[in-house]
Amino acid sequence: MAAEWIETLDAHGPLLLAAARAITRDEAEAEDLVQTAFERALRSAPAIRDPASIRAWLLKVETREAFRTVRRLRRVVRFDSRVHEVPVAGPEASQWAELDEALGKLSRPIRAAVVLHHMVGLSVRETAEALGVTENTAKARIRDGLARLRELLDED
Amino acid sequence: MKTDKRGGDAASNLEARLAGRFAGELEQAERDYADSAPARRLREEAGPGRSPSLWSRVALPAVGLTAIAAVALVGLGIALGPMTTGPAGSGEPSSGTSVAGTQTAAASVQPSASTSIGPVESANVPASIGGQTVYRVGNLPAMKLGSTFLLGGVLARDTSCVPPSPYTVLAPPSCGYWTVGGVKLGTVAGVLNDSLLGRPIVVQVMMSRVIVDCFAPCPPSTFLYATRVVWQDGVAVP
Repeated sequence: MAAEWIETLDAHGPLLLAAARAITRDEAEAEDLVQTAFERALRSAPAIRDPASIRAWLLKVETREAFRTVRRLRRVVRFDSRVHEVPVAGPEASQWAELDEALGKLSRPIRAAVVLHHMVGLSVRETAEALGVTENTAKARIRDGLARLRELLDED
Repeated sequence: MKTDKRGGDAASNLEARLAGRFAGELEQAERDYADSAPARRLREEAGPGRSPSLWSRVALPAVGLTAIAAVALVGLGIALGPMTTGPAGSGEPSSGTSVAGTQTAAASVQPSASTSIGPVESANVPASIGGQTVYRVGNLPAMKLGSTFLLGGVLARDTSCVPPSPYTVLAPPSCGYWTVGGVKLGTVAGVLNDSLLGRPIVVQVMMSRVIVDCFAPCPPSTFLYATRVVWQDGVAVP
């Protein structure tokens, strides 16, 4: 495996981890998704010709795997979800608590659209590609997500 | 910054908050990434004589398999295997096995008669054991999924609510079932019991999660639980 390719992937690691955390809101699942994205990238290295597109490509792999994982788990387990969060200490925790809580109330497809477009900074086209939906659907999810967040955050 | 033609200033404000939030998330990820499993995997890949094939076999089914394992642990009340902790003497919470993650276990804490025990301080528990800080309710460390640390205090029952049957083995903190120095904990089977009630103890605590399968909005799924008693009656528990 070319060292440069691995270095390229490594350089994208924090971004992938941050995006996966924002989408899944779960540390272990986030790391699993980053690993999966890397695994696919390692296997697909020769097929990726355009280095500039690697970020969107990795995010696409990661996001699609996030939804595959949810579908797979739904087939495997049904579980009582009555568990409650232990506040994670840290300076950022309180600053972003309200926004995090609101993001947590979005459905995963809507949250993923908002995260990819408004947080990670992908274009609508790239967001649609990552989610595996049409651009119109991606736009609608982004719009609905923002509207729901405004409602939850009491922003007029 | 993306624009939302419907929202005007409100949209801009919200977008700014989202962007700011992600900047914080990214900053945190920059700090955490180097020690994450994916980064370790890449480093292995970069080294000589390593093959990605094994990782391929392990990583892809990991979520599903660990989900089943986590559910089995909760449903059957099977105690977890060897507990994990950071390097002796670090004094810091450590990352280790996650019930539902894919990280592997680090060295186990195995106190013995020769384990160094710091002076007994507040709550009648030692300040450190084996070089590791014993935290109290007032100075809990920053935690992340899979991290472990030592917690000291008097063991009591959490009577604020009824544990949600049949998940009392890993009861969530809001119905903690047990408290150590006032910190609500779940526990694995048999680690905490009535014979220890009212006594100062030190337990190893892990932040973990329950695999939650639900349609959004899903509640958070992380919680603390005691994985073993490491000190009681003035001596380290082997």
